[in-house]
Amino acid sequence: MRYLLPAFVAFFFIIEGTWFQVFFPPSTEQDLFWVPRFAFVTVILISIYRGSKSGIFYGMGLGLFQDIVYSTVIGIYTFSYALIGYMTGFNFRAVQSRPFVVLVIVMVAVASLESLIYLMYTWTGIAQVTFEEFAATRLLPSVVLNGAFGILLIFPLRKFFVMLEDRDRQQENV
Amino acid sequence: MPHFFSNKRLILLMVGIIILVILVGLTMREREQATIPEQIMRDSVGVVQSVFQRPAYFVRDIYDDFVNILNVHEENERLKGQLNDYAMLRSEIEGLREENDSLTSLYEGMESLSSFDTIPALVIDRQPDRWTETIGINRGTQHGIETDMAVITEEGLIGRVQYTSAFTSQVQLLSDGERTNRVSAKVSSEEGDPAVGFIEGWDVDQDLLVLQKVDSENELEPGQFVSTSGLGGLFPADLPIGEIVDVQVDEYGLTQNAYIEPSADFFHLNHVLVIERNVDNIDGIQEEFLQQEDEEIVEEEDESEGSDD
Repeated sequence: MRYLLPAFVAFFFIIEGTWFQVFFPPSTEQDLFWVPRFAFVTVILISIYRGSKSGIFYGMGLGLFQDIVYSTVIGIYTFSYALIGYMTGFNFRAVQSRPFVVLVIVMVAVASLESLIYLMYTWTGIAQVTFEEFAATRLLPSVVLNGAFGILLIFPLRKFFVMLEDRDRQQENV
Repeated sequence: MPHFFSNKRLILLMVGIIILVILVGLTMREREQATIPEQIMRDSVGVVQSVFQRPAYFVRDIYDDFVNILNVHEENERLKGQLNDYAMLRSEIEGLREENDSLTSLYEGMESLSSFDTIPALVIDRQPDRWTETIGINRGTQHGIETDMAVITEEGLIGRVQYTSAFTSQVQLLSDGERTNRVSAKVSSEEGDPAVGFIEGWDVDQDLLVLQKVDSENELEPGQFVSTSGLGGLFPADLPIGEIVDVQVDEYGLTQNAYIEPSADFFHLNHVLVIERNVDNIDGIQEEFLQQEDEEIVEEEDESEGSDD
């Protein structure tokens, strides 16, 4: 049980670069960039349900892998995943029990992630597009795609978190 | 929302930003080789990725086959048309091959600039964020892969090896916009020397490669084929790149830019070939050339001395 959560994140991280790219390959007819951030959405949900400490921990780990495996510049994803993972740690009952609020947080997190990455890539000279173009071709599709993924993931993951909490409580009692 | 702007957290954020800047600064520039921990991480993730990727390609192939069956009639008609040209092309190739053999036998020991071996590899991942265009392959230094080797598919050149680790490597595609990502290319024309330029960058609006710095004296026109020139020293010559679709004079009017429709599909990559250039031979050729030049110079000097007397 303990390793199931990191395994989830790792699974979605692998999916982003492999299955997603094989079954939904980018093409020249497509002007929109559908960027999967499935592992990141999972981290945000972990942060909401398990607290911002878990968020920063998972965010940093995932970001480090993202940086090293897929890119050459290290630090960009490590920093942004950890920062946003920390800031989305709204672990109050009032938020956790309202799936719609959770979804809004996830979508805002994805939007701020894309913008942060865009800013940093612009500073380092890797990205050379205007903000309007970025917003239309990358930001919007990304929020839509990952929001949809969030809807699919919120309910099963919430059940899983409730189960985890029950187990923790039982262990404390014993 | 946690109390974000308390002193302790603000300091932590500052430290985080400083570490970020240092890390980015250290890793930004073109590095010769990734560090050992990076290589180990890439290799271990690479193993998992290959496990995921093989069944995915299997399913994808079945799907593609299904689509192909639907198009089979149309394709058959088209191929029949092409078959008529084949006989003529074949006899022409035979002639050229004989001529080539006889010419190379005259020039003993000479391996052409285009001689190479290939290492087949499986594509195990693709950069999902698409700010940079890179793919990962499941072959590394253990299989003889080195940085800057050319990577092709059956259709043409797709990129170069950017980083290697023991069992995986990262390939930078031609469509990547990085400034140092350039390939020396030539446009063959029927008369005269081929025009030479650099493939530099990708035109995002039209999805075409851009061939830059072609001398404006060379006449380029749409439909001409572009291939590697072999002059850059990294890639062998005559790897197909694509076909010109548009030509424009550049902003200063001294050179011209050509827009190229790549012959390889950069988006459906599953098996690629890494090109191992026969470097020993190239060194040999260069030495041979140098020796010959020396000899010629010596002969000329002898002659001139002789004429003085």
